Amino acid sequence: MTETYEFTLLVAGADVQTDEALNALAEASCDDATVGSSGGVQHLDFDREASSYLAAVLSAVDDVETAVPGVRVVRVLPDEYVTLAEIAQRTARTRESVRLLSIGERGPGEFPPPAARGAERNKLWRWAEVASWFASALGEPVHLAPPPAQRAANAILDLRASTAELGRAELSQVRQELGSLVRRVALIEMASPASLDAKDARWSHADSA
Amino acid sequence: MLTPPELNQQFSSPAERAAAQAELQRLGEFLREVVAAASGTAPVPGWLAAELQRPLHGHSEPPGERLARYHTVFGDELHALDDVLSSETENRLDDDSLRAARYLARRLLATLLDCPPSEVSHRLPARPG
Repeated sequence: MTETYEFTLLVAGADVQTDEALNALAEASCDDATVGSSGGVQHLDFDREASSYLAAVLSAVDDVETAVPGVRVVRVLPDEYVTLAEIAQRTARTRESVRLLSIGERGPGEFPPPAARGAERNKLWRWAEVASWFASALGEPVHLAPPPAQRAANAILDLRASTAELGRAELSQVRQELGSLVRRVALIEMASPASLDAKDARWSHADSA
Repeated sequence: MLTPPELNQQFSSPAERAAAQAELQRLGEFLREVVAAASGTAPVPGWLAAELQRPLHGHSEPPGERLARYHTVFGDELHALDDVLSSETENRLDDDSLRAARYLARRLLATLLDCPPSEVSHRLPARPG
């Protein structure tokens, strides 16, 4: 089963906005991305269909770097626009509660204005502004840490970038740590109830065959 | 549930952690006997021979075939646990790995003994062999 995941890749190392690069990106399955630049930082905003967030991000990284020689993805950002329903979910409130806060009929007012689709029913807000308002206006610390899958994606990108700058001894240390990490990940993956249930089914099925 | 139960919980005390380590070591020794017997590097221990004689889900199956089939189906998991148990003597396992390994060991033995994971420890003899 697949879902569509929205995320932004920040890229460096080559211009991705030339006609040649844009054509190459389109041919490399990146026609689900919008290419742009903000403050000198190039970005690709993706709406990618995949089996998981990580699968979506990592396939996009691969597609971008394959399409444009010299470009490298340096960071993954979340979709920073949120609906009222998403704000409600992230702040553990009801949608109606957030709606009342957003129009000033509850709380101290001065809720951030919508960042997009301001005239439409399904308005969008910037999550960073909303989170900041919840913290300052209501004194409610809102969980700003990115979700684990995004942290994992950025950790992979950070590690990949840093290994090019490490010395031999440090690389050896990283390799050892990665070996331990791989074993740890494999163990936790194997010990997941879903994985073991599937194995048990295989065992039982063969037994009764 | 995607991860082993209570994976993200810290052990409440050093004693609780030590008990988990001891349980993992004990269950791991039984599983090592299973692997050795399935690989033919050691004889089938008495406790395992008795278990393999019992009908499973109402079906009887030659003990040797059942053991070989178990080893085939769960070979990756048994190997991973063996790695963990070997490395634990050199490096202290972090809490997540310890919990995952203990859960995996319980589940593997529960499947072999055809009982709930919570009953595994009671079904096994005091010591392997």
